[in-house]
This record gives sequence, structure tokens and C-alpha cells, in this order.
Amino acid sequence: MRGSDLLGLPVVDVSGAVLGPLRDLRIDGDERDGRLTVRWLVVGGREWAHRFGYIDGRTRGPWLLERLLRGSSDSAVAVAASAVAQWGPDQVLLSEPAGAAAVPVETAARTW
Amino acid sequence: MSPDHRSTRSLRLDLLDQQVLDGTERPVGRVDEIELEAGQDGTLAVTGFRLGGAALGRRVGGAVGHAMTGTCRRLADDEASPLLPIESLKDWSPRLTLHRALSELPEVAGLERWLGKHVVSRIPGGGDARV
Repeated sequence: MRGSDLLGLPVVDVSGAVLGPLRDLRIDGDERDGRLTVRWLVVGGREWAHRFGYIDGRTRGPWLLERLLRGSSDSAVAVAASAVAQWGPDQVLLSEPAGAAAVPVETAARTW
Repeated sequence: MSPDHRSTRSLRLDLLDQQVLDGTERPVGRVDEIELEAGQDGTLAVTGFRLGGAALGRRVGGAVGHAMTGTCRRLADDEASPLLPIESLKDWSPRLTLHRALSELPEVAGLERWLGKHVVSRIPGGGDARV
């Protein structure tokens, strides 16, 4: 499957509740052993906040833009890839309830 | 449930649209698409990436994307943008670098090759534009 096809798909928990659109995937691995694996899903939050890098804190300022877009990180959550039961084609389905699978994106970002 | 606490990279900020260099450090394009595959255990892994206007056009979509794909197909027979397997990648941090030189990868950069051969090499001083 194509990465761009996954981005934007709704992420749905085991009860059918929608967490939000898939905004990003965090990838881990070593190209030397030919294995790059998805570890985290980043779900929800404003599209532009992700696109400009405000969600994971890599972008700072200008203060007005940061204030407008960083607020979006409050609604973004991270979900461990191990909690995914099905990747696409119409949704990303989790095997757990949202309360168990999702953590605040700022908490997860400390390990990124 | 927690993944290993190692450094990870963002698909959309660290891979998509990033510059790709060949084995001689020559720029060959940008990552226009990432291919992923789910394993038996449900793990999703990157299997490769695509460079080229056809892949970018499909990603962009709409009339603009359709025009990009059509241009690539007409000028360079670059219909699908070939898949470069993940094994062809030597390094992905901080830049994506391939093992091989562009001259050893005839399926890559079709539109750029066409432009180099038919346009840039005909401009005075552009004689070395062919790959």
C-alpha cells in the first residue's frame, strides 16, 4: 500500500469510535538490515500543524502561528502500531478501545 | 504496548519529499511516494519508495496531478515511477542515499533524463547534462 493512501484515513477503535484522521506515521529501523518499521500512528490535530512540524515540537515560532497551530496538538494522539488490527483500505482499525490505545502526542513525542 | 524507545522518524516530514542522493552523492530526485506492506504479524514495514513525476502526480491528485502524470507518460514513458526497494537505500539519516550511482539505475529519473538529453544538453554549456 502507498503511504499517501494511508494518510488521512479515519482511525477507528474496536468499538467503532473514530479517533480522527491518520496524520503521520513514525518509523523506526535500520536501513542496513533493510527493515524500516512503523512504530506509532499520529492521529488527529490540524493538518497544517502536522505539515509545518508544530505537532512534534520541531518547529518554533513565529509566536502567533505557533500559538494557533500548537493548540491543535491538544487534540492529537499517538497510537502504538502494535494496536492496529487492520491497515486500510478504508480505515485503520484498532484492536483496542481508544482509551487504552491512545496517549497524548506530547507524551509519545518524548520517546521520538 | 509501548514500542521500543528508540529514535523514530516521521513519514511525512523525514521521508516524503526528501532529497535522494545516489552513491556518488549526486541528487537524483525526491521521495514522491512510500510503499508499505503489512506482515503476517500485522507489523507495517516500508518496502520501498518511488521517485518521479508520475508518483507525485498520483499523490497530488486532481487536475494538477493528472497533468503531471500525463506529462511524464508522454515525455519519458514514466508511467508508474518504478519502485526502489528499501535495500537500495544506504543511509536515511540525515539524507537518503542510495548504494548505486544514477548511471546504474536506468529506471530512475525518466523525466529528468529526457529533459537532460533533449533540452538541457542543447543549451550552450549544458553538454554534460546527460546521465
